Amino acid sequence: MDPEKEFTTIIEQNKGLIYKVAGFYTNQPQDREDLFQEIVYQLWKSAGSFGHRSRISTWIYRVAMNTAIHFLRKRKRWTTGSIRAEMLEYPEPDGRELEEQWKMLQAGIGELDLLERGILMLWLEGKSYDEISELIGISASNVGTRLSRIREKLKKKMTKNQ
Amino acid sequence: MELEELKAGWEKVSEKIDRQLHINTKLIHKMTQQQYRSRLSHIAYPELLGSLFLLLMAGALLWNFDRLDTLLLRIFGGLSALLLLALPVISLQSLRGLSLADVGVASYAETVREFAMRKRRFIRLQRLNKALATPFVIVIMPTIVRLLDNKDVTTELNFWLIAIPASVVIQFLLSRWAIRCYDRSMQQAEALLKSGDLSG
Repeated sequence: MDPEKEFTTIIEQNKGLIYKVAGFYTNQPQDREDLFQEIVYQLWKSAGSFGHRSRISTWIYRVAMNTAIHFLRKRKRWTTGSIRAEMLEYPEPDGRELEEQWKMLQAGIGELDLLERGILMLWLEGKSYDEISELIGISASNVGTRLSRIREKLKKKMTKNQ
Repeated sequence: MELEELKAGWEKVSEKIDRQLHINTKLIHKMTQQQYRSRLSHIAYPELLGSLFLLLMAGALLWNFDRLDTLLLRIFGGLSALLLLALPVISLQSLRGLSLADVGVASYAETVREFAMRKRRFIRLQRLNKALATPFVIVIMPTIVRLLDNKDVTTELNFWLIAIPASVVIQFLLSRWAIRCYDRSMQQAEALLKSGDLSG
């Protein structure tokens, strides 16, 4: 298969995953879509070195989450291309509802540090402790400990807000 | 918010995204092109221009160094040139970014650690920059006045009694404010590094 075609198919099949990672690490729709674009670019660049040593989704999560951290550092200097407007064409009020949903999630995870964010996102994606451990690079038992800590943090935040 | 509530919210978002996200081959192709992508490695032009300006000033100062004809002015001039060369180096060093070459290889925890370490280094360099600003103002003032106006303000009482104390106070207040702004970021970076798996 032509590498470009193969890559396009992979992105089409995993667009939701990439978009969710982008949304998890940004607060603004514009940043989210810029990050989406950057992740696709970084996937394209690192596709050659992928070599199918791990599962495609594992590789995508790794590149996407690592790129998100780089984005956090550089976002003040981020420039926007012309793709953003073409990507999401959702009918109202669906678009507004989705934005509300993002806001609610962001309010929940605002207090978490980067490591906790990564763990939580993979847990929300339904990954097992072993899968999270492989992707994050910490032990599976540590994943459990940290998830309990995240749970406590969220509870504490809820109590504070009441 | 409970974890389970977050999960329910996440599922809703996932479902909506699957339904509403439109992306086609042409768009993906565009995203892989340099001219369309958002430029993560974009050069920091304001910092670069500022640094260039300081380097040009250092050059001009050294070129006219023989016009500084008293020992005190020469000391001030020498220190000014040194700081004019040091400040851009510190500024550009602090901006040196993370390498994106490893995004497909490094684990997430490794990237977070690198991020926290770079952030800490950035804040330290910024603090150093701010701390050097006060001595810089003190030594550059008489040097510039001498070169531009041919006057030696170091022999004037007003310079020592008014100009120097005033600039020290202003710089001190500005630096303190700027350093305070970095405190929270520094604490976050330190906390992240201290956190179990990231401690080196």
